[in-house]
Amino acid sequence: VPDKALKKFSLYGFIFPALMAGIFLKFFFSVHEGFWSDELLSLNYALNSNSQSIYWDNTPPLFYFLLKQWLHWLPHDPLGLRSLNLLVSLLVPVVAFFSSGKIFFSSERWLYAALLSVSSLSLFFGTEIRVYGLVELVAVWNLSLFLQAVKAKKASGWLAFSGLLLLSLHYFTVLLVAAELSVWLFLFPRQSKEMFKSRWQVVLAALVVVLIGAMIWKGIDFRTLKSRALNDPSYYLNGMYRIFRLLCVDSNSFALLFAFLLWRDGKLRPLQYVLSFCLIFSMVVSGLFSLEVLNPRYFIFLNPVIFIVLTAAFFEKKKINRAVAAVLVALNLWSVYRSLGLQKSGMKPAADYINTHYVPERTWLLIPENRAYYYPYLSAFSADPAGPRGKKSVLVLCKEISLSEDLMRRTFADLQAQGFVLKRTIAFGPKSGEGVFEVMVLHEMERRSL
Amino acid sequence: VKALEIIRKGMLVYLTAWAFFELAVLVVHLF
Repeated sequence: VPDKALKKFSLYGFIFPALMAGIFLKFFFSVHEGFWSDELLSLNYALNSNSQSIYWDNTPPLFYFLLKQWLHWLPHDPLGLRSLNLLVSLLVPVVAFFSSGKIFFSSERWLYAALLSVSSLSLFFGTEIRVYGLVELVAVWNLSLFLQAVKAKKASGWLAFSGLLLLSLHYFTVLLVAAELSVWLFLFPRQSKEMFKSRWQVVLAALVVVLIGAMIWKGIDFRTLKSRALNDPSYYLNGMYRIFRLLCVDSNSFALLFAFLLWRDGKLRPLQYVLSFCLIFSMVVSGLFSLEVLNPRYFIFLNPVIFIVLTAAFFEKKKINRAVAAVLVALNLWSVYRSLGLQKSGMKPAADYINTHYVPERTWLLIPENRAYYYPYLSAFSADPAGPRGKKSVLVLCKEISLSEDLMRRTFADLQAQGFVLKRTIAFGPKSGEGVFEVMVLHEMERRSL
Repeated sequence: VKALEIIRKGMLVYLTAWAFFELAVLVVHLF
């Protein structure tokens, strides 16, 4: 039974301010920063004149298809380009509110929508021009349907459809769909037989097989499969550590968060099972396939799981549950505050620096790694086919992490052979060690005077 | 459902143990 004092405090002290803050912050995150290279990559796929370009990424093409249709009608300025993701991320709390009618009381629904609208993962990744905002939106719908299905002991066609949508957006959602299927099989072994008789589920199962096949075909080389996971437990820990680093500030609170989500009793037991399966599957996948970079945004579909359980915890009798949930929400808000000052990329500052300090007639710009989509920021320096011949200086712009690659070594050796010497190196973007984002490095080389 | 409970409790123990392990690492690091 909801506590009256809590309800009153929540409505005027938290829920409305949080919803307003969510709307404001989503606009803020959409306009305050330049694009980082993954966003430029998305735009390149969606706007490329080659009709096959939406299939170039190693994720399913649905998002690029939608983005292509959307951008056909909208201006290509920063807000216009990010408008699809802005709309999607604004819809997340709306869908959360309307889809949770059968699993929550009305005050719980308001709190759920409010918490989700200021979640740090949602704000930081939902508004960028990648698929993650849409994944979160569909996951919110999917998880509400899943809980309804468990309650009614009957899976609806819409549940299968939302799972299918998730799988057509991002491969990592296989973890969620597989976890839901596993829990369903354990909970209702008898109905499972019927499940496979229904058309929707057969279609879904077939598509899971096709998508996993496509994933293996596109991305995973079984020759690189390592047995490291079997003998090195720290490998799991490292992978798990990265999953919700942004949300939970550090790994201690991350482990505590999940322990809390799995520990508390209540009506959301099925969700705890789903979460357990997701964690186990992600460990197995990261271990078997040696996926060292587990960026938190790949797991954005677990965001609604976290906030459903936190919401329910606020309406429990045990004070300890409310206290822990309050601490975790405070950590999330701190994470939002931290992300306000976090720069994702040095791309825009580097491009601004180049545009103000150099003249195209004297300087040749080289962007190795064949990343022609960086050029929107550097239109004056569009790739000159004549190369460095006749130019006084050469600029090499690359990501800090690619400096150690063979391509870069060959590039520098080649330029040195043509008589250029390194004059200075400037770094742009987030400070080293600040998470997963890109530091851009600009090397200025000058022609050696004879 | 019994199997699900075992899986859930296993993960709970694992994550709690890890949280304390990380806490210990933090304490050692601080002093």
